[in-house]
This record gives sequence, C-alpha cells and structure tokens, in this order.
Amino acid sequence: MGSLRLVDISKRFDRVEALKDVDLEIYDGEYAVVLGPTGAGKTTLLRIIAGLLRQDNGEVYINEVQVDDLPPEERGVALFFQNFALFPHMTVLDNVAFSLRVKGLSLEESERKAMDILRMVHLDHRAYSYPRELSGGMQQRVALARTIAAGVDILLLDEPLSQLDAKIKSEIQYELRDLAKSLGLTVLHVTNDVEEALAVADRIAILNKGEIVQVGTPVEIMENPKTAFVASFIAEMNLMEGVVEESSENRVVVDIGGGFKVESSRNGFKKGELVIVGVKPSSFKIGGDGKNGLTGKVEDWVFSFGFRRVTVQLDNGSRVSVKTERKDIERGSSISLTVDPRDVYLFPYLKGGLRTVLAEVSGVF
Amino acid sequence: MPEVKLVNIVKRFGNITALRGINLTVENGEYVCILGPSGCGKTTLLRIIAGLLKPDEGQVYIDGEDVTHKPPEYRGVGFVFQSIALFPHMNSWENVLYGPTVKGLDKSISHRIAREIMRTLKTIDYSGLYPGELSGGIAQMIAIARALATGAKLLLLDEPLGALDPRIRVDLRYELRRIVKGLGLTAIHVTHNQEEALTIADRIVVMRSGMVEAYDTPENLYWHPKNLFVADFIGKVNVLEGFIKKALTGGKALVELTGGISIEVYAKGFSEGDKVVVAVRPENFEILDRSEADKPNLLRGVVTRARFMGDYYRYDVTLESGERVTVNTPLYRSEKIQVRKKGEPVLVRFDPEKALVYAYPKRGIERELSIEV
Repeated sequence: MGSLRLVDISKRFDRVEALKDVDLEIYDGEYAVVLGPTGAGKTTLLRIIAGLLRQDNGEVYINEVQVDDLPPEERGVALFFQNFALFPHMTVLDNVAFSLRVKGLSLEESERKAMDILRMVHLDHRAYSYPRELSGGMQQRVALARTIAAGVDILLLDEPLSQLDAKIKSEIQYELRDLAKSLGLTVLHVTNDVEEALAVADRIAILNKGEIVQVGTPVEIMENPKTAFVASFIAEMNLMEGVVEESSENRVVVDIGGGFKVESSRNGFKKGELVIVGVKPSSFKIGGDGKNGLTGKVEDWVFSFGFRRVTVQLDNGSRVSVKTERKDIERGSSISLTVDPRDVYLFPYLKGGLRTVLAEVSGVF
Repeated sequence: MPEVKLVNIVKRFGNITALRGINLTVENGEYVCILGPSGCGKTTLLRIIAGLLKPDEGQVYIDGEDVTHKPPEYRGVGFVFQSIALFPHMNSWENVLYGPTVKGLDKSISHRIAREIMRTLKTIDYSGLYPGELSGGIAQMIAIARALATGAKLLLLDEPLGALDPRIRVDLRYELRRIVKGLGLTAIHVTHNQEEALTIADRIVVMRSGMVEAYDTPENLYWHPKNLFVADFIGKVNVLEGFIKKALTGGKALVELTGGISIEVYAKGFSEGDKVVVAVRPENFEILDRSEADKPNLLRGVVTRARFMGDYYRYDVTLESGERVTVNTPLYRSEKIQVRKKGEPVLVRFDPEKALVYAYPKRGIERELSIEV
C-alpha cells in the first residue's frame, strides 16, 4: 500500500528555481515516471519525497499523511540512487539479505527471500560472487534488488538503468515493470530517456525547468503533446514556424513560407496568429496526391532498423526528416511529400520561436 | 582528403591480446563506425590510428603513407572523446582558436578558421561562454570545432555522444554526419550503440574480442548479416531452432521447428536433416488474429506482454513450443493498428525473405551470441 501526493512543491537553490509549484498524485500500485532533460529538477523532487531535502513551499503526503516533518526512515519510501554503493566485502546474496536481516528476519528466511529477488533480476547464478567480480550493469541490478528487499511501499528510482549497456537495458526495463507490478509496489521512477519511460510507465509526468508541463498515459502523451517542447522532447518531430491564414472548425491553414500552406485538423488558433507546426517523420507520405503537398530535394538518407530516414531540404528553405520503408530514394533527387491534415500538430508560439523550443530540448537556456 | 588503411594490426597488453590482426580500409570521405561490446578492442584500434598507441605488429597507412611510427601531430587527425575535454579556463572561442594558434598560424588566419568552423557548426553564439556554462551537447560541438580547427581532415571520435542525454544524442548524430559530409572529411567513430552506428555510418565495422566480425553497409548488415552474432548484435533477433525438412524450388527450404510446425524460408547450402536456426527481427514479425489461419509461416501463441512504445507496439508472445518471441508493430505501416492485449491468443507470421537462416552453432546458441569468443 502506498500512495503519494505532492502539493505545490517549490524549491530554490540560490538564484535557480529548481522546482516551481509541482502538483502530482501517484496512486497506490501505480508505476509513474517523471521524464525530463538533465537539469529539469527530477533528482531534487525525489530527494524531497525521500526526506533528504526540505522544500521551500508545499507538502508531501504519503498514504494521505503529511510527512514533511518525518525523517527519511519513517516515511516508508526507499530511494535508489544513480551512484549506489554495495558492500564490497559481502557477497551479492549477503548484500541483498542485509536489508532483510536489519528488519529482523531470521538468517534463513532473509537468504531465501533475497534469493527470490535475485532470481527476479536474473542474478541468482551470481549470488555468491562479490560485487567487484560483476560488471557495472550487474552491480546496478544487485543494488536494485537490495532496494526492493527493503520492502517499502513506495520505491523511488533515480535513473536506475542508466549504467546498463543498451542491449541489456532494452530487455531489463520491461522486467523492472513486471517486477514492481508483481510485488504490488508503487513506483516513482525518474529518467531522461523516453524509450525507458514508455517501457515502464502507467503514467508519465513531463518535467521541464522545474515545472510539470504535462501528465498522462504514454498513449495520451505521445498522441497529444500539448506544447512544442513536449512534442519534440518525446519524439522526433519536424517543427516549422508559420502564420495562421484561415481558421474554422477542425480546419486551420498555416502559411509556412515560400508559398507552402499546410492544413491541420486541430482547433483553437486564430487567423493571423503565429504558430509552430509539427509533423512526425513517419507521417509524411512520399509522392502521391494527398493534401498538403510539399516539394524539395533529398539531401541525405540514413538507414535504421528496417527503414530509411530521409533528410529533405524543402523548397521554402526548411529541412525536414521523413521515415520510409521505400528503398528507391536517391540523394540529390527531387521529392514531393504529402501529409494528412489529421497528422499535422499545431502548438502555441513561444517567445523566441522555434529556436527557444529547440534550445530547451537540448538543455540550453 | 584521407584514406586510412590498416594492415594486420596486432596489439597485446601483457598476456591479453586486444587486437588479433585487423585489416581494414576506410575510403576517403567515408563515415565509418566501429561497433562492438565493451572490451572488444574498438577504442584501442582508434588510438592506434590516432598514434596515441603503437601496434605490436602491422602498419597504419594514411593517404598511402606508412605512419605507424609517426607521432599523432604528424597524422593530421582530430580527436574527440566521450568525456568532453575542453580547457576549462578558456571560453569556447579561445578553445577553438587554440589549435590554429599553436600551429603558429598568422593571427588573422587563425581567427578566420575558428570563425568559419564555429559558424558551420552553429556554435558561434556560444563563443563567449566557458565550458562550465555550456550544456553537454553544445560543449561536445565546441570540442568537435576545436578538433577541426587544427586543419584535420580525418576525424576520430571515441563515443562522442556517450555522455549526452538520449534525446540530444539522436539530434547530434545527424548533425555530426552532416558536418562530416559537408566538409568532405573522413570520420571513424567508435560506439557501442547499434542505432547510432546504423544511422550515422556509411559502413560499420562489427568487432568482437579483438577481431572484425563484419564490415559492411548498415543495410547489408541488417538484411544479410553473415553470422548469427552479427544478426543479433545489430538490433535484436528472435531465434527459433529447427532442421531442414525438405529443399524447395527457388532457393527455398522447408524447416521444421522445435514445436513441430513447418515453415518456409530462403536457405542455401544446406542438406536435408541439417540443424539450423531461423532468426527473425521483432519488426519483421506480424501479428494476426487466430482466424487468419490461411497464410503460410504461422506460429500459434499467446501475448504475454504488451507495451505502447510511441512509434510501435511491442509484444512478447509465448509460442506453443514454449519459445518466447518479441514482435514490434510499427504504427506507420498501416492506417489502423489493432492493439493486442495480454493473454490474447494470436498468430505470429513472417515473410520467408525476412527470415535469416544459419547452421546451428556448434558451440550452442548462447555461446555463439556471447560477446566473448
């Protein structure tokens, strides 16, 4: 049993506002992820929940009890760090069994439980090894097993998979979710990796510059990003600036320069307004006679897992990328693209325009 | 405009042989990635090309000249590391200017070079900032600008994107390729990230335990990997075991899988009864309803895990044989995607031309796929 509610949390370090009015509710048994670029305030948030840092404003509730005046060990949470430390002179099994022993379980019982948890993280075959004999990724899994063994209601994970090799990580992330679900844990996991967030989360909260900018299920966030920042942070999205030329119900026409006009089925933008237009690389169709015809030249293409990612220099000067399974795209050739108005996103314009959005995504302020 | 040629490079550290006879040619203007698991010798190889390490045997040629015993500064290479090594007490501009200045170039020429490089790399706006004030991505771009400002035509990159946020890593790899191609440079880039290698390189060297396992274009490595290790290392494969039941016409063969189901694949050079493995990539599987049983190459199973991954749905399916496979269903393939749920009985199928068939590895599948030989 563990629910978590954050009300109006703010924290300032000298001149930097690390967290601004953060409200977030995590339900009992939920796997929640806070996703954001480096420097967004993710670790600060976890430290406040764990009781290692005191917020300037706001309250933390665990199981509907305000815990702001409770020390870390009385909050019923366990924090897993990026830079964990294992006991070097203990075996893997002893490292994991240690937290159970501390809780008063018998030696036999704690070793049996520790072994169960090691099995879940695929390390039962290394139970009698010492930490130094394991790879960095394995050590991370031991540390994770030890945190789980502590048997708390709420598990706070700070970039728990960051030290793992890409190939191992792409397997273990799904198992981490399964493990949390099978133990009925409530988890708050922070990361800067979108794929990792999608793999584990019931819900994702996007944090940018200390503010939560969107909360939703993976499907909600991927299909309906609210701002250009969220859109380009969670997926590769082509962004272009434009001016609304016509606006009616479910139909907005945007002039993106060079004589190109793009129609979108989104609502809520007025004629004459500056907007940011977003199109996913996979939404473009090559050739054909659909709506929103754009022309340009193929600058380059690269191959990825079964598809090609084509860079097109549009005739209005902007550059877009296009994802296709076609194999007949030649560098330097002319190309025409179309895109369904339903796949054209519109986002509110930001002061400073596209440049500001891209700078935020790359963490430059 | 450098071409790099390595002839039989051997390097030992104590009684460990880090490189076991590497032969490799990187063409002028080519972008080559060296891809391999940690400990495969990829960084050692890069350091030998740079002149930071001497090989025990073999020769390094740059532009046809034997530079094996020449110091790094003679080789015309620019080096970029994972840990961004900028001078902390100099601002970006001074960092970039450093190379041309120590080469003794005239002040106005040095300034022109630094300015041009920083404009090309779109970093000129950060000239006045110090390394501590830059984000990781920008700092790495300044490090690349500094390497290029020395006049280097050969760029050697050791995990240059490794320390960056995942999202920036993706943007920057396209930017890196654009810079290298735009300036007509030759680049050799070491990485352990498969997707990075696929999307940035003209050709990829796959290394394992100090040896070259494959050297080919990304598309050939993906569609026609020459062995099971390469197939699995370049993106994941699902491995199904079976034996050749019957040769068919047109280069095809019928394979009977462990579960007793027979499937059609393209397989050459096998005899009836040969033990084989059939490898299928997750995105080359298709999921069907149990009612669509009239197509070939069908395997019955149950969905044991389903996740929405943004661009695709990822399913784990446990087959009737007990084997577990991963199926990725990209959203862009069709207008309407039917979402499957955990516990749902399904059929999994693949096109014969998308299956890779290899002789059953003598030492077993696990050893074959292991990163050590």
